[in-house]
Amino acid sequence: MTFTLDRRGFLRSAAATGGLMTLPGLVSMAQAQDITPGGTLRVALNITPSVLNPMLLRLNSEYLLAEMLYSSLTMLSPDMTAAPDLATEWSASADATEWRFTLREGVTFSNGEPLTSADVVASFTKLLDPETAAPGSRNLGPISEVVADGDFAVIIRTATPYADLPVALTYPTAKIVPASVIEADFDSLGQTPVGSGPFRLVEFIADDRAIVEKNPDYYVEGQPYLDRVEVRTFPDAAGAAAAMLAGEVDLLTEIQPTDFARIAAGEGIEGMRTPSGRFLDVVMDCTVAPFDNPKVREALSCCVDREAMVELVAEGYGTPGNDSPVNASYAYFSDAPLKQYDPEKSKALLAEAGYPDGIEIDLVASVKPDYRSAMAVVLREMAKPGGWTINVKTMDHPTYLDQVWKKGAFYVGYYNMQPTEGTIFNLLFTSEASWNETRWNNAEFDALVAKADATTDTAERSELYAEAQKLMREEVPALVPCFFDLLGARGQNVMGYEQNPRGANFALHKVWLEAGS
Amino acid sequence: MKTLRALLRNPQGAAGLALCALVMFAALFGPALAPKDPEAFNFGARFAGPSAEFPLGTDWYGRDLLSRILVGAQSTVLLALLATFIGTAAGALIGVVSGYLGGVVDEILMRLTDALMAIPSLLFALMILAALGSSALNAVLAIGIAFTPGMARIARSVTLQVRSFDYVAAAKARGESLAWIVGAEILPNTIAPVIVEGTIRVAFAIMTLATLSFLGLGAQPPAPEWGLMIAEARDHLFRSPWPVAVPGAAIAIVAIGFNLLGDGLRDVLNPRTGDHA
Repeated sequence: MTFTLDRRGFLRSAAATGGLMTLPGLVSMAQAQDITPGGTLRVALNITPSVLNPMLLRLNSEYLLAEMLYSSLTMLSPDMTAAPDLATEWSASADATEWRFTLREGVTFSNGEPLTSADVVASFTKLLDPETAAPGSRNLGPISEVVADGDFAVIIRTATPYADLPVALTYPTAKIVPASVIEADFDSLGQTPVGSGPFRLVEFIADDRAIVEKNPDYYVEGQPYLDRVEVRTFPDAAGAAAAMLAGEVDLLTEIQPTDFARIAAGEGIEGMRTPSGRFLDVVMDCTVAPFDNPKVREALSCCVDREAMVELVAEGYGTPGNDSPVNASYAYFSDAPLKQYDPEKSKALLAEAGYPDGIEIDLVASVKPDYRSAMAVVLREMAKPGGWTINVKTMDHPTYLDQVWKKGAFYVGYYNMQPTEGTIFNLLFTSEASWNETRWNNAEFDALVAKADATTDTAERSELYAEAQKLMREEVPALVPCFFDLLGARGQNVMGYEQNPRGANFALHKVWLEAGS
Repeated sequence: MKTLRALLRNPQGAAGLALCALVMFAALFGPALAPKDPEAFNFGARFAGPSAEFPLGTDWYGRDLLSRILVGAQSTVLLALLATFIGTAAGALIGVVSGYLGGVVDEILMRLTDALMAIPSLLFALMILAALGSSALNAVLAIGIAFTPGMARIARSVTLQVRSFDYVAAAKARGESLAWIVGAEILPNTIAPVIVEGTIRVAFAIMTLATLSFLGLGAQPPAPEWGLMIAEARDHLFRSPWPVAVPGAAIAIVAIGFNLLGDGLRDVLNPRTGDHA
C-alpha cells in the first residue's frame, strides 16, 4: 500500500483484502501451510481492561484478555454460528427447551483440577444468580436449570423454547471456572484467574500491560501457536496508532475510522476491515413528549441522509442503516429500500403531530468514541430544514453512563453487534429488554421476537424476524442511521487473525507469527 | 490619549495594539463579515485547502473555516476577556486591600489565597463548573474565579512596595478614607503590573476555555469556538492540517497580540521607563 493511492482506490483494495480474509476456503488454506509456533504477539488496546473476574466483564478489552485465560461451552465463529469449545457436541429436544452438551474430557484448569460437569453447573448457577450481577446474564437466554448428566455432559433447560442457545452461550461473560473457586472465594478471580483457556496470566499491571504465556496443557492439539501475548494499554487511540506505526505492537484490534487509511498505509502493516452490525443509534424515549407521538419519530427519521451519514461519521467505512439494529451481518436480515432524505415530509409530519413551528430539543452525546458527537452534529445539520432545532450537548463518558444512558429522552447510543437477532432485540428493544432505553414497549414486537426465538424452523423464523424489523422501521423507537465496519491492523507477519464482526471475540490462540521476521 | 500616543511610539505596544484591534474588530463585526453560514456542510468540499471560494480552507464537513473563525471570535475572545477581567478586578482589589491593611486581614486573605492557589487552576475551574452546572457563562465565571488568587498575590506584592511611599503616608496623615487611599493612591500605582499580568492571562483564558469546551463543559459542538474547533479537528489532523492550523493560528495571534500589548503598556505606564513621567 503506498501513499499515492487515492482514497477510492484504497477503499477498493481494502475491501478486496477484507473480502479475501473472510473467505473460509482461503483461511483454511492458510492454516494448511506451515505454521511456525512460538514468538510473542504484542497487542495494543486503548481502553484499559480493569476487571479480571470473567463473569463481571464489560469491555471489549476485558473480553480479549478473558478469552485467552478462560473457556466457554461454545465459541462464536465469524459467521455467527457456535463452534465447539469445552462442549464438543450438543443436541436439542424437538421443542428446543432441553439441550444436552457433551463436554470435552481431559481438560484441566490452571490450578491442576480436572474440568467436569460440576464446574459447568456451578459456573452457570453463579452466573445466573442475580446477586452476582453478571452483565449480560439475560443474554444467555431463558435458562431455567442447568444439571449434570454424568461427569462429562450437562443438560440445560430453558423456560421457553430457545433455538439460539448454543450461540447465546458464547456471550463473553459465560466462562467456566472451577466449582471449588466459586465456593471458596469467588472474588479472588478478580486478582487470580483460574481457567482452562489457551493462555495463562503471567503479569497484570492495570493501565499498563498484561502478559500471558502459552498454556502447555491446552486441549486443542498444537494450539496456541504463540508462546506469549503482551497486551499493552494506551491512554487513547492516537497512542495505540502511533505504537502500531512505530512497529512497537503487532496487532491493533480497533482503529478509529479517521485513522484507518493512514495506519493501513504504514510500512509492513496490513489494514483489516470487516462489515459488522456495530451501530450508533439515536435513542428516543417513546413515553415522553415529543417522542410519545410516532409521527414525531417518523419525522426525525425523514431527516437523515443515511448514505451521507456513513461518509461523514464513519468516513465511508460502514453501511447505511434503516432504523433497525439488524443488518446484512446477521442471518435473518430482511432488506428494504433505504429510507430517503425528505425534510419536507418531516415538516408536514411535525405539523400533523401538533408542532407546526418545529421542535427544539437537546441531544446528548458522550465524547467516547468521538463519532458519537460527530453523528449528533451531522444530525443537527441534516434535520434543520426538516423543522428541527437540535442542540448538541456533549458529555464525558462516565457522566453520560451515570446520568443519561437508559434515563435520557434523546441521546446517542453505541452498541456492539450481537450474535443473533434475538439477542440484540432482547438487549435493547423488547419491553423486557435488559437495557430498554427507548421504552417503546410494543406488544406486537415483543410477541414476534418471543415467537421467533422459540421457533426452530428457519423459514418461519426468518419471516417473524422480518416482521419485527419492519415494525421497527415503521415505528422508529430509535434512529439507526449507520453501521460501522470493524477496523483493525496487523503487522504483515501476523497470520491467522480473523476479525469477528461481533467485535468481542478475537481467537488469538489461532494466531501465529510468520517465520523470518 | 497621552498613554495611547506613547504606546504607538513603543514598537511592541504598537504591534500589540494593531493585533488586538484586529482581533476586537473580528470579535465585534465577525458575524456580519462571515461570507458563509459557519455551520453549513459542503459535501463536495471536505478537507479543501485555501481557495477563492474558501479563503482559509474547509474542515471535515466542508464548513468554511474563515466564517467559523470570524463567527467564533465573538464567543472565544469576548468570553476570554470577560473571564480575565473578572479575575483581574477581583484579584487586584483583594490584593491591594490585603497588602495595604496588613496584619490579621492580610494574614487571613493571603492564607485563603494560598489554599486556593494550591489547587491547579483548571481543576479549580472544573470544581466550580461541577457546582454551578456547565454552560459557556459559568465557564467564564469559573475561569475568572480561578484566576483571582494569582492576581491577588501579584497586586499584594506591588502594594507592599507602594504602601511605604511618602504619598501614602501623606494621604493617611490627611485622614483620607480607606476607599480613597486604596482607590486613588495605591491602585493607580500598582496598575501597571496588574495590567501586564492581565493581558498575558487573556491567552491562558482562551486555552482554559478551550479545555473546558473540550471536556464538554463549555461551548458545545458545532459552535465555532476556537478551542473546541481544535479539539474536534485533532482526529482529522493527518488528513488536512487546516482545521487545526487555522484556529490555532487565530489563538496564537490573540495571545501574541495581548502579550505585546501588555509589554508595551508596562513600558509606557511605568513611571521610570515611560517618557510621560
